[in-house]
Amino acid sequence: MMPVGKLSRMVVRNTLRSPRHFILSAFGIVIGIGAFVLFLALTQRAGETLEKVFPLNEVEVVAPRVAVGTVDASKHLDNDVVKTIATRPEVASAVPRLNLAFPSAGRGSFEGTDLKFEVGGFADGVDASFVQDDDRIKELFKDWDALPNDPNRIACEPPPPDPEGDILQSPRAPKKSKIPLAPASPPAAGSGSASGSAAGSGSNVAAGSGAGSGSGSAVVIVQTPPPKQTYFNPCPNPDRYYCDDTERMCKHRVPVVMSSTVVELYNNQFAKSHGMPMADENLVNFLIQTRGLSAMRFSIGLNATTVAGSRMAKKQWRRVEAVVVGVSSRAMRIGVTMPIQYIERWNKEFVNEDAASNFSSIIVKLKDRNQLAPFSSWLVDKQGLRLEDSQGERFATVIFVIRLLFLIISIAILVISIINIGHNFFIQVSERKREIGIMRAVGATETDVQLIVLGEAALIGIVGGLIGVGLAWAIGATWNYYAASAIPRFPFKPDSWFDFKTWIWGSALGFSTLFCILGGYLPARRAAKMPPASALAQQ
Amino acid sequence: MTKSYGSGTGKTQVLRGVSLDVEKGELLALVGQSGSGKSTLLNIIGGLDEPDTGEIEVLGIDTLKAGDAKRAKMRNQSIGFVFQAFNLLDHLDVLKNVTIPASFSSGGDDANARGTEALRRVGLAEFAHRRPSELSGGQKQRVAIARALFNSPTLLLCDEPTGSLDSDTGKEVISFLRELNAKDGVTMVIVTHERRVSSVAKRVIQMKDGLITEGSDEHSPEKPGESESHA
Repeated sequence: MMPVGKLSRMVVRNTLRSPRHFILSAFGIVIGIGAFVLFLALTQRAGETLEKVFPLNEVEVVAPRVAVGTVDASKHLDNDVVKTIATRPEVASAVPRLNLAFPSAGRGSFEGTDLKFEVGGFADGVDASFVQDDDRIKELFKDWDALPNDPNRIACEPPPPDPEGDILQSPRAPKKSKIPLAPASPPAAGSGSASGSAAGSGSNVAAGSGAGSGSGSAVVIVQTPPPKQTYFNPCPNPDRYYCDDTERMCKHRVPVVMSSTVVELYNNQFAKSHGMPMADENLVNFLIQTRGLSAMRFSIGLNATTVAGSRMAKKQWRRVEAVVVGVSSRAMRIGVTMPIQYIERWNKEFVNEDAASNFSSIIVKLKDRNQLAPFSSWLVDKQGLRLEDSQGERFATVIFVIRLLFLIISIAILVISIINIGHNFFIQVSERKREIGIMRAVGATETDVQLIVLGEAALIGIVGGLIGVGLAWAIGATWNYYAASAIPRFPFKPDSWFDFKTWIWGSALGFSTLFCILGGYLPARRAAKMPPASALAQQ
Repeated sequence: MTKSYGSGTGKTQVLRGVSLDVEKGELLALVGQSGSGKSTLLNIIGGLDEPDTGEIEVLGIDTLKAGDAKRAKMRNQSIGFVFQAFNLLDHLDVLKNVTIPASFSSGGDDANARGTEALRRVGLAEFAHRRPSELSGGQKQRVAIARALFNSPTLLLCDEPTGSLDSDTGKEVISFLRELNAKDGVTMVIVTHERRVSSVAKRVIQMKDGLITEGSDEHSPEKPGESESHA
């Protein structure tokens, strides 16, 4: 066999000699590899985004609804069930989740805008140990009312009730320590139409209906200037404590976390149309850091049904204050999540004992998402429970199918280009018959001839593959640039739509080279097996 | 040995039973009409073709049993070919054409120096960086001879070396080959149908219809006649 260095030099020289042949052969490869890389990078990014929205190794266990006559005979999800599930070998952790089981309404202000929203159906509780996203959440996300001997829990004078009988907004602390944000542009929608639409939609949100279908109906924005305030929060550490109306004591605000979905929903459904600043996870954190925890505080009217109009009237309701302590991946997708003890106490207070101990679901984290099937069948057969339909699973399947489709398209392009390369090389080999004969006459072995042709094919694969990867990258960059300005914001819109992982372009280059070598194999064999005498006879 | 091409009714028997010994240092001419099988015989000697039946030993190597790699090495190191059509590669310059055998063997850092020396021997040293297309027929054939001499072969196989040249240029080439045989003792087998070529040979083999018809003749009165051939 000829030395590798000499082989490489000859291959490069031969390739440079006939650029037309090179371009014709490489064209299909460039397109095929470009498509391959672009499709894979796109679906890769889609999968990653999906994983962010729906953690795939987390599933939710629920009890199937069973009714005997009019009596609800569904299995209770209590602490014993949680313990049983937690002992399964495939389970890493199991924590109960409890929905707020009665209607409640919230009221707060954001950037000077009065926000009213449903809380019932949009609030749940989980164990504090489950929500540990960052240090601030770790410190603040706990049941403060259970804290013994809290020195801040002193008697206080509660604020006067709202003159219109509405849920009172959380009063400010006496001293100003706020750092102003950039001023928000004036509100676009008039107050009349905003409250009008709210009156119709508020009743859609039934108590305990679970994670909402329509999130838009859960928030109402009333564009009225805040009333002049004469009452200030009298509590020590007013950043975290408020004066409770019923207990007439300073209490720590109820810590809640929200999901990034809520932030995205806020951006898409409200921020733009109401001229409010765009928020993201970082902005929420920024606000809390610069203005103090109280920046994200709001009031909850427990058992208060409506959010506008003549409302709550006869029902017994009371006000508590809550505060957003951060954005968490563990938070209810649409709504707020708080330590489970608050929900337990409130469900007991406003519904009954049963509502406090019968969990809505159990969040199970699997050690490995591949163990989902055995866990699921155990759950159904032995426990009479089932898994909540996972949207994540469904989306993952869709993405998998799309990816498969894209892969088939790219591979079809590649196969066509291989056939094309094989065809081109057959022509080339017969055109270069005499040259091959000469090389045989001066000492080339059959292997040498074969390697020369295969080398030329491989070079087309490497260079074509590199150009293809470059092309994909260029198209991706162009698309990102275009999409950044031209495509409107939507939940989880990525900055980059493509994730060019090393394995993607690495395997693309490998495939490209391999496929070209495959395409060149038969022509190379024919060239090698050509009897040198007859090859030379060609004039 | 025998050799045929094609199959069935289109089958052509090119060699019908040829036996031949070539002595070391000999200058042998193979003459005969076209189609008589002389080029096929030459290609078989050079390992570019294989007989259907028979045995062959070249430079002590049984080329039929040797395998492709060994035959290729023999062509590379010990045999030089000169063809009627010159068979130069037009995309390479003259020097690269001469040094191309070095591509198929290891070592050869001195390939350019040896190539230049080979070109100097054929009187074309100053044409090293021309393209073959810029040369005359006689010059092209001399480049081909320089390539054949690149690895200092012991056997030179020439297939109609003057066939594409005018008579003056042909004469030059013939006298060069003769000198090469006389001075360096390179064994030569020259296929030709030209009398003036066979006239320089020490022995002339006449072929007709795939058979050797005459082992020596009157064309070379000075021939030593120390070897024999069988039809």
